[in-house]
Amino acid sequence: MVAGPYHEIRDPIHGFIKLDSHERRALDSPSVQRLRHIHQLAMSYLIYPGATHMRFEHSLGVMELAGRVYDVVTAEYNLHESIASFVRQIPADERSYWRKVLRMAALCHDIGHLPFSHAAEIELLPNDWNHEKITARLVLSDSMKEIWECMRPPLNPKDVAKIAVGPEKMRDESFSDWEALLSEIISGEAFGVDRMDYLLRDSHHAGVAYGRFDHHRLIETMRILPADQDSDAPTLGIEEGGIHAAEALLLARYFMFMQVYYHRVRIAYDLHLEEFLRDWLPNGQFPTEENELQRLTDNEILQVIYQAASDPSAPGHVHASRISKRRHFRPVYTTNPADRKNHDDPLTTIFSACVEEYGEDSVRKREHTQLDPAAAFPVTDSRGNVSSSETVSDLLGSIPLANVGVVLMDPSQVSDARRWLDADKDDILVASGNGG
Amino acid sequence: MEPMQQSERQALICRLIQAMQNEGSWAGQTHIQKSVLFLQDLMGVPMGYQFVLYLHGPFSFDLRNELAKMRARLMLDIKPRSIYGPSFDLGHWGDQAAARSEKRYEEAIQFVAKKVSCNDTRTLEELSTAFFLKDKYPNLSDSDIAIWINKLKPHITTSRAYFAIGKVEELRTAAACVQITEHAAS
Repeated sequence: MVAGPYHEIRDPIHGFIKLDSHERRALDSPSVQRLRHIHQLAMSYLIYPGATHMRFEHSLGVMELAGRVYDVVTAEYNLHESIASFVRQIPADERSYWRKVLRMAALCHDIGHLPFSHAAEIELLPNDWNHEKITARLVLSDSMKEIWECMRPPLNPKDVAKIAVGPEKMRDESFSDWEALLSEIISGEAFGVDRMDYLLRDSHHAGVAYGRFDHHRLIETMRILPADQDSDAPTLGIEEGGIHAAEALLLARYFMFMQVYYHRVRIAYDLHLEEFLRDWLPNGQFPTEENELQRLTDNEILQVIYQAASDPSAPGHVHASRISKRRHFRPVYTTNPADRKNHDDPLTTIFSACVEEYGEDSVRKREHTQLDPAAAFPVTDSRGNVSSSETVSDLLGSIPLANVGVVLMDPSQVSDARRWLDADKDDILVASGNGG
Repeated sequence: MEPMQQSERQALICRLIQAMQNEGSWAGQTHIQKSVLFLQDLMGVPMGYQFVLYLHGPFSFDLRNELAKMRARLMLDIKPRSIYGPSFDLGHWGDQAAARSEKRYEEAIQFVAKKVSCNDTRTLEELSTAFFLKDKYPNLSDSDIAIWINKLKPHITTSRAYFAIGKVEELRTAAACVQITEHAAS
């Protein structure tokens, strides 16, 4: 499927990733190369020392998996009877065009990331900006346009941008079912290859086994199916032989969120990084202009963090010191099922009590919820009957939503605060009068 | 009207789900998405969600995120059901939240629960897509909208799209009789 001459890149997760010379031009563009210097997991390497991998290799992995999924779900022998006309209406040459659009969109889906990935993105960009909007702008930039136009067949930059960014962040665009489906291949809630790659890659580098699942089996069983028995809307589903691989993926996601992405010390480092950047960046915000952004990677930020840590007069000195000298805030309270059931908002209650006791400079609060839990997906059996995943899996409906709420405090006061909360937490929650 | 606060919005969603269940709606993700679309953009309840055209028609990612946060706060729960997928139910704190909902929106909620929420997902997709495009492009003719719907969503024939556009007009007429006031029935 790759037009020669092609190039191979060895990847620890997927073996050899192949791309042709036109695609390589996109890979070699400054915007994609910049991802060699953006950590995939921000400062998680301070907790998991192996997690030093970059967005560059993740982007290659997403491109590879996107192509594999496309080949499986559009293969004539894999088309479900009720959906076949939806795919067949697209002529073969157009299908080949869209395959390339999908691979390039996958390669570029992260090029708008700020230094240290998601950490503090929303707070440090002007209103209405996010990394996806920057991604779209870079894909549509003159320098990238030239690359798309040189491809065979030439790619419409807008097609690449739409599929790379998706409808969630490109809200002014209307997505046809076909475009929405391609976008779902990259960023879908259940089977998006972005998620597949980061789970596999992050668990590999962090050294935790939770993120592994049989992605080969899963991809081979993916199909385009009608959404449910009432609807003909096409969506990504699986053939029933892949149900255990799908269960493993969704469990892996839950465990990775709870153990790695929402690790409480990682949350503390994100907090200090955000506070440092707010002090250090002009007007407390990242630039959105292409050339300025291109010059900013984790390397530049780390350099100024270490400089600021050794210079008490530098902007952000306190926060930089917390990062470089590992004097980060520590958790004193983490939400748990019992407190959430007995009290309406235990996190805010405990946070307010800590602020009252120790002062607002010493206390921080963060809450993270997995916002895109996979809904049910269609499953087809060997006779072509389609039903919801929940009819073939007892497990899928029982996977909890990943959620962590944490109160963090200055390390000098942590021991005292923990003792105080051990003794008084229940009284504080009851006194708040918001439950129980 | 100013968009409402998060707590007010969440209370309203809980009340809407109660009303949907009372009317026999499945209350799955698609039903809630489309019901909120009509509650907001047809009935004028200022919930502040932005919808985009996606699989199954208009979809709000903000609303999806809100539902996840409400699950984390135990206001909502997911009930696995059979062939049509899961539905939402009120969670441990859901009744309390629903009781806090603004009574002036009650009539609008009941209207949507009765006229919109009970439809199956296919009808909801057709109705909501027609409504969304008519609302966004008021200068386009019904014929243009029907053709456009079919182009975006080939599984919706132009005749089904026409039918949906007609149903949307009926809904508009009926909705005009529903008022949002401080003294509306609760």
